[in-house]
Amino acid sequence: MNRIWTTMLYLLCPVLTLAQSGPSGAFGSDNGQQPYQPAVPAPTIVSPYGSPYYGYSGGASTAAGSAMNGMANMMSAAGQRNLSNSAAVMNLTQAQRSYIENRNMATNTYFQMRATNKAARAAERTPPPTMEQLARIAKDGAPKLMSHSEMDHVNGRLKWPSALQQPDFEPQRREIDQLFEKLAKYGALDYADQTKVRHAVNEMSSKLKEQIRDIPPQDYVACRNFLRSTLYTATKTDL
Amino acid sequence: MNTKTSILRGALCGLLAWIAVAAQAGEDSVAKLVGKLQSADKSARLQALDALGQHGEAAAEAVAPLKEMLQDASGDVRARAAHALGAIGPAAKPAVAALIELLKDPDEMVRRQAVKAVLRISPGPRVAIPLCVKLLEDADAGVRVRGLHAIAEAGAEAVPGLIQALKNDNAAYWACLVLREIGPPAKDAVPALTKLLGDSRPEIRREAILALASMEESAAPAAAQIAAALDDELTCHAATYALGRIGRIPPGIEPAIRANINGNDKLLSIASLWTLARVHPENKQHYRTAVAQFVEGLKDADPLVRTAAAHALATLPPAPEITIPLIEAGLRDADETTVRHALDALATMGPAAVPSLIEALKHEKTRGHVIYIIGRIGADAAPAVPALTKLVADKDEHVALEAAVALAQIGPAAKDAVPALIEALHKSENSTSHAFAYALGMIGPDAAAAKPALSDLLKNSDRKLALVSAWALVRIGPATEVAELTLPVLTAGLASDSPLARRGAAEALGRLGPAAAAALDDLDKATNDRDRDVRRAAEEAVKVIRGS
Repeated sequence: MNRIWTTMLYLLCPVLTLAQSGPSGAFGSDNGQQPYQPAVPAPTIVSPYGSPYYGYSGGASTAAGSAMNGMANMMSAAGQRNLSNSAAVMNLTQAQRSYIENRNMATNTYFQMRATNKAARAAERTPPPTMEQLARIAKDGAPKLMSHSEMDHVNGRLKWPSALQQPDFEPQRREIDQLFEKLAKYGALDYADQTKVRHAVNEMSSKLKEQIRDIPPQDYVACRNFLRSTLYTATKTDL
Repeated sequence: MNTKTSILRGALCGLLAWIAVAAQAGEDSVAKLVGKLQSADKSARLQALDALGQHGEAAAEAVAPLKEMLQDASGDVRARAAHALGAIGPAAKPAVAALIELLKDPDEMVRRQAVKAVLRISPGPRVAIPLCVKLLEDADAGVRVRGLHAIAEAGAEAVPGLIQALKNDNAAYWACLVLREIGPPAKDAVPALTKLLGDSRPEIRREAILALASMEESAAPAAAQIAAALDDELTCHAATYALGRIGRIPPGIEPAIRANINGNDKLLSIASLWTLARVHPENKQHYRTAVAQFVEGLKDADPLVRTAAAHALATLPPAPEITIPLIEAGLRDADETTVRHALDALATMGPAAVPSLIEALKHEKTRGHVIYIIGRIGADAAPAVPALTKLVADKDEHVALEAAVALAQIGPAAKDAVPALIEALHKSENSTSHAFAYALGMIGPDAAAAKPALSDLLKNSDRKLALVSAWALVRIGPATEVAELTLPVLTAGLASDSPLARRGAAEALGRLGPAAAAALDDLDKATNDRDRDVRRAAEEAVKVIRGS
């Protein structure tokens, strides 16, 4: 089980950042509605034996299978939408509506978690060649999960470095805190939530860069590494 | 006097340092932490529990006291005790019964940690499956999701338990989700799922239909009952899709599906087109109409319609001669999201999609995604080499790196990229050089012109770059020619602090064969490396070099 746990370590690799960051949101989360969910599984960085490396999962060979599951999910979502707009649901109490919303969220999380899990195992079965991993790591360094001194793994609470505790960072910090509580609850975040973490982290990184002259170099590096680990940890599945 | 004083001072400092280290070590030891579990101070107990959790397997001796902590009055303590037991893993088996008992805890955080711990301890399917099926009734979604995952992992073995769960009002919905994922191996659940089509709750009926759909032809006996759900706006999408997935439309039902193609519900229209295209693959005219509609759907204002259209395109029986031109047309002047969805559809078509993918490289924002898909196609993506070669010099490092990796994946067929890669290697003073060297190595003997540039890099202060360059030279070969040059770098690589570098060095030495005989002593040492993959690579290399 421990091995499965370590296998589930994820980070969005540069190509994802490139491909999916843009004006409409990293996954095309237009109008705040249904997020873009790729039929081609995302390239991932997987660490099967504790030594992180870059690797791809899925891709063309598994895209059709993923799309078939995706098609079923769309049909489920279509029915769910009609149900939510139906007179029967309109007349429900707030508690009953919350129950339905929570169930839908858990359903999405479940399928998302299963998709990332399968992708990680596929990557474990056919990892990229050693040198490809080495060539990729040389670019940005090996990603690291948040340590116990940075995050409480039981409740998902983050222990922010003091420089990031300044009021400037408060909105993003609050958003990330909420998302990490959710991560601890479900054991995984879906694409849309991972995207929110990435946006918040990117905003914090930009603000941090603006303050580079006001922060001691050591603290600056620590904050940067903390944010990087935040991004990495947000994409992992912890069951 | 001064000398004596300084010696005494030095000794004192040394003693103090030793005491500090010893005290630190004592604080970290499992035995000491176990002692702290009895502290009256709750925060001290919590700290000890967290620290034991960090020890992982090494804290096996703490299982009994941790098990006792599962009874603590504080929910936080109980949750952390469960977490620590999970971190210990299989050695915490004696605590499984107590952890299962904890699944009735009123505190949801405790239950979540308990289920996580049980699954990490891996008590075996006999214990885990009935337990997880029971968890489907839990009120907390966090607990349920973990139970669902464990059952799905068990696959067909969990089907009898899931059939039972279908009869439980609280668990039926979740059991349908897992059965949908298990698919055809869960065919024994068809009768129970069919029964659920009469359930009063629309979401149960919908999920039962989707679960039946995943069983494909095994669910054919349920086709008539599924078709009856077409009249219900809450289940019509699922039912239409299910008939297409099962591949059978009962007599008299097709006109209703055809009528839905032109209705106001775009999702239902997509599902109807898709189902008819799957059931009648011989009808090329319908296929063409369906693909054209799906491509149109990629641009719809409703994100759900766009995604459904992309999935529909990706799951039709392959007919690239029809699909690709239509997607290409749809890509013209398309927005970013549409391009992404179209790419997803193209990715399923493999080599046939290469020309369209080359064209798609012009969309700057999705370029990385396109390069990724091209790379995955491998040698068959050779027509993309000229376009990728241009991107090797891209000012964006990420694009340049991905282009180099894609060329590497294409392999020897990317030989025309060698001059550009060499030039990039000369110009590059950043970490992308590793990828250029890697690509040259993957191209192999046809990259011989890169030997001088790669040889220069053997002396580079970045030892990982030196190692990738040595590996590339070995791939380019011949072994007898490059052995002398690369052996020192590769042998030194076996002592790198990076397991990947050590493994890469061992693999490259193995590739050199008998020409790497001088590295045998170091490789023998590497067969005892702390990293399993390094040990395997070293053992393999030793075998090859010794010719055994």
